[in-house]
Amino acid sequence: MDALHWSVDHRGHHSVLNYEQRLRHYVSQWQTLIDDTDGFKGERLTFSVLPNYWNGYSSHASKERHFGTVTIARRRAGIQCEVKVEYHSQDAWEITTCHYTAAEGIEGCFSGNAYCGHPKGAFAWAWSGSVQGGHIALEGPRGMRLAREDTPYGVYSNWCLMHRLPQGVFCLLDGLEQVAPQCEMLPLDTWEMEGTRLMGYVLAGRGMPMSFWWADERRRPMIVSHTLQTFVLTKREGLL
Amino acid sequence: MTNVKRPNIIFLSVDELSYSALSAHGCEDVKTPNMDRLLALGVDFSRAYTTCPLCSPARASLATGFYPSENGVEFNTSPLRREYPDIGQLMTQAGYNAVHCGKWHVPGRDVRTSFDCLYYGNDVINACGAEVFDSVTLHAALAFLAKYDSSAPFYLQVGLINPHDICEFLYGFEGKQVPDLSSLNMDLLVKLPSLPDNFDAQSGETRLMRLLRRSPDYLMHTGVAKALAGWAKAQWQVYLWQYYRYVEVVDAAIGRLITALESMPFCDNTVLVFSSDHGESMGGHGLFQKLTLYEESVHVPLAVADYTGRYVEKKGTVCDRLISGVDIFGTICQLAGIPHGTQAKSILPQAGAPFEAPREYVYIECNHWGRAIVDKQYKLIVDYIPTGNGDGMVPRSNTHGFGDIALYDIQNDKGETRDIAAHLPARTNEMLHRLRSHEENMATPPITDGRTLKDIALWEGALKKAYERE
Repeated sequence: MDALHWSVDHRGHHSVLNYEQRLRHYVSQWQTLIDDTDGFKGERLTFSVLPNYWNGYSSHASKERHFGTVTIARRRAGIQCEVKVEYHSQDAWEITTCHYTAAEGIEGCFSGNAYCGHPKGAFAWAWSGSVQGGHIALEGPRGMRLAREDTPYGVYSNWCLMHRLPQGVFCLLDGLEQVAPQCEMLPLDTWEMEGTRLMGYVLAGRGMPMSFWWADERRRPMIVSHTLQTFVLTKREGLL
Repeated sequence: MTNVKRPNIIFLSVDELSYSALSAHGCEDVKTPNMDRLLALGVDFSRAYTTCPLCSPARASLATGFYPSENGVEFNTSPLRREYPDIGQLMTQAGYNAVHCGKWHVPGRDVRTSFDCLYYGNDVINACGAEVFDSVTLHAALAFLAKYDSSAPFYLQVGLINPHDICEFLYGFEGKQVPDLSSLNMDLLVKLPSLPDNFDAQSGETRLMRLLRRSPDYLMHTGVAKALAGWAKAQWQVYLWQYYRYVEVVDAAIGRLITALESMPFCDNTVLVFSSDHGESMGGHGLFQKLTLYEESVHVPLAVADYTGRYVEKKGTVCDRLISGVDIFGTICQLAGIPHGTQAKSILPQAGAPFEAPREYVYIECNHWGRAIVDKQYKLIVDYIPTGNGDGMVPRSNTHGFGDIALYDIQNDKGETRDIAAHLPARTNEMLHRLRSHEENMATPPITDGRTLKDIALWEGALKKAYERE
């Protein structure tokens, strides 16, 4: 059995008991993924989100906790893509949806909605923004300003990165909300898991704690491990 | 009640943020434009101290105006005594819309019974989880501000968790071989921060602090401590680098909150108080996390951004009054016109009245037996020696003997590298006298909570051993 790389090995004192089993289960299904979606009008990626830790989040936290699922649907529109993201975070009890337009990085208008449906306190939140000529603007409802930022770098969201890793220095609009002005993917290591050769990178930069990205030879992420969450690709579908 | 319109109050707290980890406070390894802006919008209190360098005790003090040994929250598992009202209850009684979102972490008091709770996690946010919870907490706070249209003032309490994720980053080193991350060539992008000058300093460290952070008898975070024991200095630099990134993440979140507030019509009747529950060791004294009485762990940022123009005469002022965590409670009560009858002082002038007399010193507790007294120039750190009789009493200077005693000149030796207690016996005695006087005026209720007694018993055995051994 292939050993887990240390960067995604969260079996220690604070990990969920079945983290490794579930990670291996998802990875074993990679063989059934279609290799590319070039012949389709777009593609939809699904990532399962595993918790790296359980202890401390909650006195009632379950060791079997599952954090949620992210789907990223990219549909080609000319030279760009329309992208729709849905992130169901079970632990945070929030469903976030985002829409943006991107070639590689984001250009033009985007929007996001968040709905927290917790029975003891539901709320909804929405924001919108734009990236134009290196100027990032974010707004909420009722004319509420949220952020203004200028950047000399291309602007990517973390969801863009889940499609393909960029090269060079870039500005990250994390979750389409939070600006990390200067980031880069730095080479880490290589690793083979269930017959798939993976190239590892560290995402690091100003405003962005390091996270570990394992991609195939086409720079498409298969496993992404942040401080508290590990995203594993579970499905790649072509969109008609 | 005066005729002055009562202000909206926002108490914005972060977790594990040291005073020195802001660019406005001279740190060149981090960029915190938004927290710096908050400091410039009002008063930057440069000598603010937590009441205890641990989440729940510090937070219970912020919520009640009482020290941990008084309100019962001495450990992260100790419940708040029922008879102590919290700020949510008091604000609601005073006619405020008291709302909370994010981290609370005051055991024994369900925040949802004291506040209108906007967001509090799935089950309950306990100690950590910034990456999971902070963005939702911020969404909840922004959604509240966007739709607020009541004529009644609000008290909004926002508990962001970062930069606490540094603790979970460190857990990632437990029980496995992680290579030297400094070899990742991160300096291609950013220069790794230098280690603090006091990285190797251990002069005068008391046995309690050694037990909490260094000793083989260590009772918590042992996996992390073992992993870090083999670290080269460069790996400590990577840990510092990562800590500063969590600081920048929470700074950006704060930026969105204050930018949003400033675009709302009620902003000009709002006062925002910003602070942290406690600090982070940041490699000072070769240590990680908190739970010590060193400056990195207990000295926190505190700002009062006054959008009303009624409380702060000159924006952008730096004030070096000594301030205790309980004073944040006192200040919020004073802003709301609530009498509270605690030792907490307000750090703002009353309308038309002068400042309350400043503190001559602050009093800090740590893990039941540790105490510190900080004045303008010196810091005294002292252990109480456990009696071992399991009497469930809070250690006080009239019932317990002193163990190790250290004195630091924190004006001239900011890194606390030289214990000068033996050189300045008169000053040391004066500080001990302050400790005695302070505790004479404190409530000392017997400890009856089973979990707290269990924690005390656990630590008492280890501390007794440490004193018997040496």
